[in-house]
Amino acid sequence: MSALGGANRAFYDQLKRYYRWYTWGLLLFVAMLWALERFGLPRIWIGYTFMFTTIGLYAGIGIMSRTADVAEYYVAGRRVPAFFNGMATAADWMSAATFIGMAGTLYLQGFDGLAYVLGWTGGYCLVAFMIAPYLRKFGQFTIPDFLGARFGGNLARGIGIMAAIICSFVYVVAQIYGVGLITTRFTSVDFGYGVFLGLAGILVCSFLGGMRAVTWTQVAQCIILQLRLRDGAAGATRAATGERPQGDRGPRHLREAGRGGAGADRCAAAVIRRWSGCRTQGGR
Amino acid sequence: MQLSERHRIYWNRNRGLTIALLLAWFGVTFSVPFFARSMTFTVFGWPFSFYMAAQGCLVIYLLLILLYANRLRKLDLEYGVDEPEDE
Repeated sequence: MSALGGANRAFYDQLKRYYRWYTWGLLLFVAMLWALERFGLPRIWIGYTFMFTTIGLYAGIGIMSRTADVAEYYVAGRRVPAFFNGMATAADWMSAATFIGMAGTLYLQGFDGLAYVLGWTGGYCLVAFMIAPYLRKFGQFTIPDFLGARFGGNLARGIGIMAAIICSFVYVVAQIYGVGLITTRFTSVDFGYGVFLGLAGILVCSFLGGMRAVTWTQVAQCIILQLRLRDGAAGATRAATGERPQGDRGPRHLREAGRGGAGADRCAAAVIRRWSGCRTQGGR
Repeated sequence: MQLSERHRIYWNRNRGLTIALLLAWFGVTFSVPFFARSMTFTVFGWPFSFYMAAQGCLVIYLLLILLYANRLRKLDLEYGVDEPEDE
C-alpha cells in the first residue's frame, strides 16, 4: 500500500512539474508573439500561430494520453488528483459557452440572464451532494447506469439518458458554434470550414485518449483561461461601451493582465446595469 | 459487505449533512430570485438582488461544496470508511 502511495505521490509531482513547465512555456509564447507583433508580424499570421499552436498542443496531449484501456478511456483511470480534477471542472465552467454564450445572454437579457449563471453554478452543488460520491463508489462509467442500478429498472435509466442527451445537445451546439466562431475569427476562413477545423482538433484530441486526454487538455485550458479570461471580458466590454478598463493600453495592458481586473469588472457591471434597468444612485 | 451499527450511524450523519446542505442550497437559490424585487438595499454599491445573483450566490455554492467535502472527509476518517489513495 505504501509503495503504491509513493507511486501516486510521484505521479502527482510529475504532473505538477509538467504543468509548471507548460505555464512558463505559455507565458513565453505570449511574450514572443507580442514581440513579433511589435516587429510587424501581420495579424493574420498571429491568428494562425495561435490557432495551430493550440490545436497542436491539444493534439499532443491527446496523442500522449492515448489509451485502449476501458477505465482509462472513460474515467481517466480514476486517478486524477482532486486539484487537477478541479481545474478541469473549472475549465468546463468557463468554456466557450460561458465567455461567448453567457456574455451575450447577459448583454441581451440583463438581470434575467443571471438565471443561467445561478443554474449552472448551483447545479454543481446537486452533483456534489447527490451524484458524484456515489457514482464514484458505484464503479461504473455513466450516470444513467448509476440511476438504473440505484433505482432499479429502465425507467430511471431512461430518464437519465434523456436528460443527458438534452443537456449535451444544447451544450454542444453552443460549444461547436463557439469553436467555429473562434476559428473563423483567428484564421479568417469560412465559418463552415472553421467549424470542421475546430472539430478536427477536438477529434484528434479526444478520440485517442478519451476522458484521460479530455481531462489533461482541460487542465491546460484552465491555465490559459485563468491567464486570459479577464482580458477577453475587458476587451468585450470596451467594444460594447466604449469605456476603457484601467490598464488596457498597449504593452502595459499585458503586464497588468492579472491586476487590471477592477476596471474590467466595473465596466462589465456598467453594461449589465445599462441593460437591466436596475440602477444605483451612484450609477453612470 | 455486511453493514454494522457503525456504518448505519455513519450513513445517518452523512444523510443529515446532505439534507442540511441541500436545504441551504434551496433556500439561497429560491429566495434570491423570488424576493428580488423587494430587496432594495445595496451591497458594495450594487442592488442586493443583483449582487447575489451575479456573485454572492456563487460564492455561497462554493462554500457549501467546500463544507461538504471537508465534513465528509472528517466523517470518513472518523468512521474508518475512507478510501486509501490507491487501491
